[in-house]
Amino acid sequence: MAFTSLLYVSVSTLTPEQEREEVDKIVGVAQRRNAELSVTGALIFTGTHFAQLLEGPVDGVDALMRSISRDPRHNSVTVVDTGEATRRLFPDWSMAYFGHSRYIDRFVGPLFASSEDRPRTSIDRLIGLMQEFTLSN
Amino acid sequence: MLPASVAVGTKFSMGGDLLNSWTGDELPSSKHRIAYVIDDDRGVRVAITLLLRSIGAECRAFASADDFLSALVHLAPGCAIIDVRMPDKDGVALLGELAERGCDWPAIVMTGHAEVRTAVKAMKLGAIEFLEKPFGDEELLAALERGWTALAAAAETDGRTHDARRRLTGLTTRERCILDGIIGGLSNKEMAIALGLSHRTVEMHRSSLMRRTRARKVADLISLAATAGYEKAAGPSPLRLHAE
Repeated sequence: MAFTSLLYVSVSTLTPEQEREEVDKIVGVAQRRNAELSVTGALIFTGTHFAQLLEGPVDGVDALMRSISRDPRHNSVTVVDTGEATRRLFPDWSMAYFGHSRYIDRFVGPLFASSEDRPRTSIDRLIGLMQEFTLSN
Repeated sequence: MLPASVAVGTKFSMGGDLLNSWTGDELPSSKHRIAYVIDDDRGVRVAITLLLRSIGAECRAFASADDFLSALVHLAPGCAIIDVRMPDKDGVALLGELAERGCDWPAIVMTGHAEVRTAVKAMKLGAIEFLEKPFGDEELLAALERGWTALAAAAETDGRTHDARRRLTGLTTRERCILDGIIGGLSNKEMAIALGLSHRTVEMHRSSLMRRTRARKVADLISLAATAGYEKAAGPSPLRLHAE
């Protein structure tokens, strides 16, 4: 089966009071469901934005993206990168960052620009950030 | 052996201070904004101190991580503004030591050499923001506001815990047995048997317990105990409730 990777960014609709609980729920569901679908990757939440990378079998990633796009906890879901992948970047799925740092949000914000203004380096920087959070000890 | 008084937490917390253990009156005010700047560069220390004073916040400066760590036990909770690159002990090492000491005050890290690796390390150690020099006043102030909001929320939670603990101090041994029994879901009859008391005596202790803790119903009492972090005497068996 073909192996695909997808990176999206989105705008959170959560209020500050809801954040902790809702993101905990998202993580709980994702850990279980993604393992079942053999989907790995990472999630970032900056208070303003979500960013998530999903990689795995095409059917699994597609199914996930369908339900993710319908989730009312965010909008402006923007797929910034997708395509066939040759190897996994992440050994499992995890929450890479939960916080309100503007420094971290600057890795995500620029990716809402239209595709011509969205250089490959910005995409690579965001993925690199996710890896830095999840792969180092 | 049931505790004579509820143990007070001594760990550093955002609402507490290691040396100033709770006397009941020294809760940190949520209105009092305090920051500490730790940077070997005197110009930075001065600039940040002036900025903070201009917004009515208190600021104390330290030239090294060790200076800050030595002073720590005497300091009230505040935001720590920490430079990454310092001789002897750098900002990340300081964050690590603060974590080891159980100090979870909000930390804002500054650097002139922004490296993602360093930023991520700092965040994993709990830093709430990473500021790349030169940064504007607004960026620092925005991060400080987040930190102070978090401190105020923690102080409020600690306040509720403190208040709950206060309501549970001064209970007699018997009243504590009854409290344990209620938490354990025992009926008055079961408690009477376990304690070798008459039903009426149990009822009497129970109502004085409720009166002392100002709990109107059992649910209030259980919730109070939970907020206070009260743990009933070890052992699930009601027979362990025998008073000394």
